Amino acid sequence: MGRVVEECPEKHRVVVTAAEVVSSAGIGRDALSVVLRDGECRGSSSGYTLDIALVARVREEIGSHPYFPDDRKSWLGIRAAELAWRAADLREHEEEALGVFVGTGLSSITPDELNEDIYPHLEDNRFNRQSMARDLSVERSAPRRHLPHYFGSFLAQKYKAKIAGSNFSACAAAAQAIATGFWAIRRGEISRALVGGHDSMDHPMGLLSFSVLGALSSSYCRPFDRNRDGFMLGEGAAFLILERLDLALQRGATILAEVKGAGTSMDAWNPTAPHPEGSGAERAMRRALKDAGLSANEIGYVNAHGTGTPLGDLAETKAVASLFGSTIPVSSIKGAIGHCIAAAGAVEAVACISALVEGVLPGTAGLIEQDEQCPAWILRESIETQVENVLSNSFGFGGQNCSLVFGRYAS
Amino acid sequence: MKDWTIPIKITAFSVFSPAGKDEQALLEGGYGRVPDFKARKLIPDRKSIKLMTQAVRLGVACIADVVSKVPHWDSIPPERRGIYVGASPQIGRHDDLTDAIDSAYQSGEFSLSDFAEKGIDLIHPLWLVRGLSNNVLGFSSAYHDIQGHNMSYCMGEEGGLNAIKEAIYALNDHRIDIAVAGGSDDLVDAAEILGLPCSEGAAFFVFERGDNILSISQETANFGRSFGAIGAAKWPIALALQEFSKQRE
Repeated sequence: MGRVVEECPEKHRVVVTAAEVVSSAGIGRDALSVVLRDGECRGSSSGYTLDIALVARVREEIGSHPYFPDDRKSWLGIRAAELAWRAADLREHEEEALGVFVGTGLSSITPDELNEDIYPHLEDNRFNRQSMARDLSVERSAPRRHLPHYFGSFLAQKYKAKIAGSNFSACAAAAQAIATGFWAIRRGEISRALVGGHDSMDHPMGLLSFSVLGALSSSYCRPFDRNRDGFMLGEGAAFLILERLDLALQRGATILAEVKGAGTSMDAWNPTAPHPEGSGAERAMRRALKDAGLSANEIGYVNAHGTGTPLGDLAETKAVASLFGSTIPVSSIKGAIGHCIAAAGAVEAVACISALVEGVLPGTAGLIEQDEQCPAWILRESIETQVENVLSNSFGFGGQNCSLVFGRYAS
Repeated sequence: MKDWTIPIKITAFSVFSPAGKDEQALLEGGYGRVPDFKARKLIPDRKSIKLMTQAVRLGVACIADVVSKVPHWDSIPPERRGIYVGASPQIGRHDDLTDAIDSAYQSGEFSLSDFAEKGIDLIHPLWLVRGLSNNVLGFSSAYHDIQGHNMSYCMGEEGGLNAIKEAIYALNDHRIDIAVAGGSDDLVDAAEILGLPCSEGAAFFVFERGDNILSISQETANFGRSFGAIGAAKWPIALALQEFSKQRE
């Protein structure tokens, strides 16, 4: 295998040459931009008898894939990755070392699968493990679906990657995948990276897991609102093509934005609740700024994790205010397209890149009356303004935080 | 076989394997459970143990053990401590959901409305949280006040190795000053599905910047197979044996 690390005497600049997304807003970055500009909530009736009002689903037909016949999140991921790959037009540059880094979610289980996979193995109200094991050992999709790294490996093979990493960090997964790819290019380990995430928890067991946790809104998602009561589940996938700046210029690629820095942190507090003062969130943001070589006043917009949960929004705005004051525009797109869980960091990265490219900062769909306990300038509606740098937050269960800084590309 | 060009120092390491914790035991290899592993003895936060699957318990206990071997741990600011873990999603016990699912099968096939009405109350509210693969990070960071950079890798057998690699890079970049890195996994119940011997285990290292090049020999790589399928713990356990033999030399 030889040496796996090449020494890199200087840090490379890293740029984004494609950013594509599949979400409840539609297929592609433009569809997301329109929904975020208009502040439209894309939730629709959950259709489940569970006590859940809205789910933000991808409404377009998404084709199945023979490798993942029953895993919707993989279909979404494949579609988004193909869009990004095509947009970057990388076909003639496959010889350059590519990395693939993916934030991925838990397995999806449908009622049909419950019927087929689980019920036959219930005996006297207990599972018969041997029976289930025999069933799962034959060639079928279920065991494959439950291996989270299988999707990342699939993409790595498809796009002939040198290295692949599947990262699972709950709701920070995709942001951490982007950070990992960014650092790998910057230090010279690879030249380009396909980075992003995918998830769909829109199935009974997925919704159930959040429902029993009390995390879902009983009406609609209202980030930072005084009456907020939880999030709206979304689904989607987003992928970026990151490249070393010199290589992107060499091939005449369209540069959408520059990745300037990334920061991660642990709350070191409680596996299921954020630090009440948002200290872990603040550390992630501070590190991302340091990594980017920027000061707080050089950031023009913060895309908040902003799930609409009472504790999470409060902690995040305290962290934002302590670092940026209350004069920087902040918004959450989860009221519009829902919380895409493991994909959220990538979908929101695309939203940030669109904000830089188009000069429109998204508002916060669902917000009616801002909670006065949330000490930040929350944008209710989108505004047209050109900013130079934006910061995007993703925070996950376990107290795992990741912040990314993107900037307008300047030669 | 693998050779990082970045100089590093292994400050401490700890291993829990089906064969035991010392070099001789590792050399003998073995399959199955870690013998005499008692989570309640090794994890002081007994209240949270029920939220941990076996793989998480192994990881959390192993990290507690390796951190206890670092005398200057408290002198390093929490913000400068990093944690990198290879782990799999925590499937949990099959019967976590049995009662709830059975309540939804009264008519012979799955009924979502029955499930909503009767099943939900039979599921532990933190069932989702138990299943996350980053639980080793979540619990251990809280216990050892690790506030710095971090990453969880969910990549099967490669997870632990990638965690170690990323930790070394983070130290080299001066993003942190000390790193806990390794992997833990439990595949014992998957033996029938995989059709090969399966094990549980964990191995974690504490790394700091230093003068040594970390190499993984072919011999070490081969050794990683002597516990059967052991998931994300494979490479860290193999590396632990290599370190034992280096220390002896």
